[in-house]
Amino acid sequence: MNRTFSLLPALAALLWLGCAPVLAQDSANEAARRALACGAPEDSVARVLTAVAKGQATPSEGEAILAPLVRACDAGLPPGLLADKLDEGLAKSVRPEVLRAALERRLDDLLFARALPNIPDEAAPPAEALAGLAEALAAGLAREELRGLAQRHPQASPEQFSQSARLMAFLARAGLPPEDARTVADAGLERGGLAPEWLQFPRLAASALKRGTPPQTVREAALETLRDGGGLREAAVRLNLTIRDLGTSPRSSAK
Amino acid sequence: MPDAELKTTASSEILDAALTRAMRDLPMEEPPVGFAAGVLRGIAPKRPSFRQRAWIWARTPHPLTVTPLRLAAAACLLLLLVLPALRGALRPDTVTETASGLLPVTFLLPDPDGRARTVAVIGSFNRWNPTGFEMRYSERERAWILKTQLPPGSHEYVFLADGRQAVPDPASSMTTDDGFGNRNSVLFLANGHEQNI
Repeated sequence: MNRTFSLLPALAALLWLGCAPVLAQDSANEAARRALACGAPEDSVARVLTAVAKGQATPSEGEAILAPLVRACDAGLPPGLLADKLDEGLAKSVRPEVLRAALERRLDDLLFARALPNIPDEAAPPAEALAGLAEALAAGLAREELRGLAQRHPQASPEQFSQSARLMAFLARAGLPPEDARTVADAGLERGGLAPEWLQFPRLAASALKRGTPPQTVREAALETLRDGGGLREAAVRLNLTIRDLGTSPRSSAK
Repeated sequence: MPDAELKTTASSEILDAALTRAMRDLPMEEPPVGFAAGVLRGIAPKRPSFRQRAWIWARTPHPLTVTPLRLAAAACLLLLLVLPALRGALRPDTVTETASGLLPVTFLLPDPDGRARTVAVIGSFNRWNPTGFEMRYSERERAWILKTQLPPGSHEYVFLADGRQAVPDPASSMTTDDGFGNRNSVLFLANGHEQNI
């Protein structure tokens, strides 16, 4: 009898060892099924399963990678907003735990952005605007800055708000002090929003700052241009720059 | 006249007379069928080919009468035809937008030692999928090259060497954190309007 009892745990362990990979594979498949059910791009999900099949990720890692997509879905966010990052990580052979952490960070940014007053509380939130806000946060814009922008401009449309947030983030990244970047973003929203080309202004700003132009001159060039209803061309002229300073690398075939 | 010369002239006349008699005594025969027509065709003036005529025309001086009004109209027409090409030549940095709205782009990754076996471009424009974006190695430039077309806007990308190593573009003036601890290159493609800045 004693012998029977001592054999039971051993049998259970053997059974578990035999079934564990299958169960784990099932967990990845189940996560894939859920991700697909809520609209995750098929090829993104297939890439995860392929990575698992090739041994580049364990089944449990595959499940963990897909988990943020499922969570996004549960939170009412389009999972496609995470799929791009997922594709990028898999293409670059990023380690699964690093990839998962990046996806979790992006999901958190998206959830934060969706709670801002400029984003309507609808079943289908504006995906492009949310992606832009997540990009601004990823580019280094502090959440407090973003919240402040939202509070100062509650009437701004999601698209305009998102664009101004990105402009603010990119200007700060270009080396403009945050208060100057904030002033330019505010001015844009006060004038009803910015044309898409203004997202390239940070590159002009970076070139100008690199040449020794003081930050306040860069800020004033932007403000004066906005006041006059001008665009990037006028801003470039005010900074004594040309379109070449945008540096469209890699080389264009027309060059 | 010397004696020898007189003898030669006499014998020549005798020979001529003999030949004339012999010819007269030949039997009369009809010429072959088509002989006369063939001879006439042969001696008829020949019409030169189109190419020959064009060449002759081109080498012959022609008087040309032009009124100032006609000249102005012709100049306008010529200008209209030549202007688009001229514009492109005068502005070499202009990126030509295709009918589909895409812009031509050439990616280039220097590899003087030919270390990489394969290189592809992956980015936000192809959902980080290298299929169809494989580069080819140019022995002349000692670099990997890909010519493609992309929509206007801002794109993040890297080069993927040997299917696993992500390499930012060394020529890119702008990079951004990729969230995985590395950098992505940023490409800005302006459409025609923005390019005129």
